[in-house]
Amino acid sequence: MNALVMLSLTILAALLQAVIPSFPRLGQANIPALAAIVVYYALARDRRDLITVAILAGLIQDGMGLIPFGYSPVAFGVMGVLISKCKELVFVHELLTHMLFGILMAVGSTLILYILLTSTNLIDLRASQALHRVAGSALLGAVATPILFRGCAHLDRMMGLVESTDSPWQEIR
Amino acid sequence: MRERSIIVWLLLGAALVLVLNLPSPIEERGKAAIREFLAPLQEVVTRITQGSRQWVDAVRTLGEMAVANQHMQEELTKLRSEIRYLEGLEQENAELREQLDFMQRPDRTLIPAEIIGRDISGWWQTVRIGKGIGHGVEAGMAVVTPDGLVGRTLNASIGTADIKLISDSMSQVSAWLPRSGSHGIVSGGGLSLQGVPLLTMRFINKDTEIRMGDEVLTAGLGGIFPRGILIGYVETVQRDDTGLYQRAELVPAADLGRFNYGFVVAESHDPVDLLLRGPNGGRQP
Repeated sequence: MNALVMLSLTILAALLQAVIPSFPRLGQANIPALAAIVVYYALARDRRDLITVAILAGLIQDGMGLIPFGYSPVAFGVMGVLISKCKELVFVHELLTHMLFGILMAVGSTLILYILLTSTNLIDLRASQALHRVAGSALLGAVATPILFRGCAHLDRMMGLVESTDSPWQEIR
Repeated sequence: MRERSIIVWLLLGAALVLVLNLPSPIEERGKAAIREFLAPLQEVVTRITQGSRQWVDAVRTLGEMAVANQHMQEELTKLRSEIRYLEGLEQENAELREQLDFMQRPDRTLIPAEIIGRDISGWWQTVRIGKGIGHGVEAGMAVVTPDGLVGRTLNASIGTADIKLISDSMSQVSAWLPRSGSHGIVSGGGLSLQGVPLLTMRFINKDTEIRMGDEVLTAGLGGIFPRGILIGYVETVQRDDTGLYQRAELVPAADLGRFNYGFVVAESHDPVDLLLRGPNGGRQP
């Protein structure tokens, strides 16, 4: 059941990311839906689930676009592990935490992808454009991550992967 | 426990190195499998969003529809009479070509295709269509709309293909200005802050007179884009930094940001090239 929920969440996030167009005013940044799912698994689940979802989300993002296979799993994996290392230091269930880690994930993964893609001459983006995009991703990460985090937690509770309580931010397992 | 953890991380690292260095055909096959798996879902979601957007638009512009319908009827009548006239010209053209012993132009097959998604990562200006190798679509084919050139196909799976739009910053199209006869290269510049696709025509002869509104067509050089497809119109002109050429900013003819349907040009032979080669592959005198 856990694997099914993981797969469903990742596919739904990928579809959401593919349907919502990029935002030209935000440096053509996209809604970081897949990155938000990785943030959720980094904060709410163990390391094994995090790595699995980071690889899955990354491969789907690369498979559905022009990014070479492996770039997005690296970006999501590195940022996911960093976030999971910090989860003991923060209040995992706070909205502010989700916003801050959403920003961190969006900024980090965008920068990693920018470096990988420019180093292989796959994109032609000036540094100013890249910074614009990073700022746009940060803003979208701050907005999208708390919403998707809540959605993931809700689905996990519905599927019985976590005990139902009054708090929507209850820790999983 | 610690040793086991190290082994797991080493295995993960090795797998990652393997994935990053996959041979191109295997990588393409993997990507195609993911695209094929998700294409039906993507198509359904896109249809729902497009349908709701069209419904909202229809309700909003209800009053204008009668007027628009009247205009379309008039245009239809005009276009029908033009088609009749052009059919006569086509027949005359074919006869003249036969008399001059030129090779026949190959028929271009237009494969209609629906847009089922846009670039998921946002790094490129691409769209995905719901037609692929199974429908005759291959990589490196031009894609047009009734308004003008849109882009070219990049990679195709059985039922899908990605199109790189001409506004992508890595896109280049050889072009010419039919009024002045000058050639150049049209490069994409991404989107402006307002979401307008940016196109620039570079390397135009510095002595060419260019006017605002001049048409820019594909030159047919390079073998992907057939000659004579409308790319856009000149908006502004300036001398480039070296002073050796002119540079023109263009307005794309096709609505690159909102089109829902396109046509893949299955035959992209260059008529000019064929004209020069003649029936035996040699140059005409």
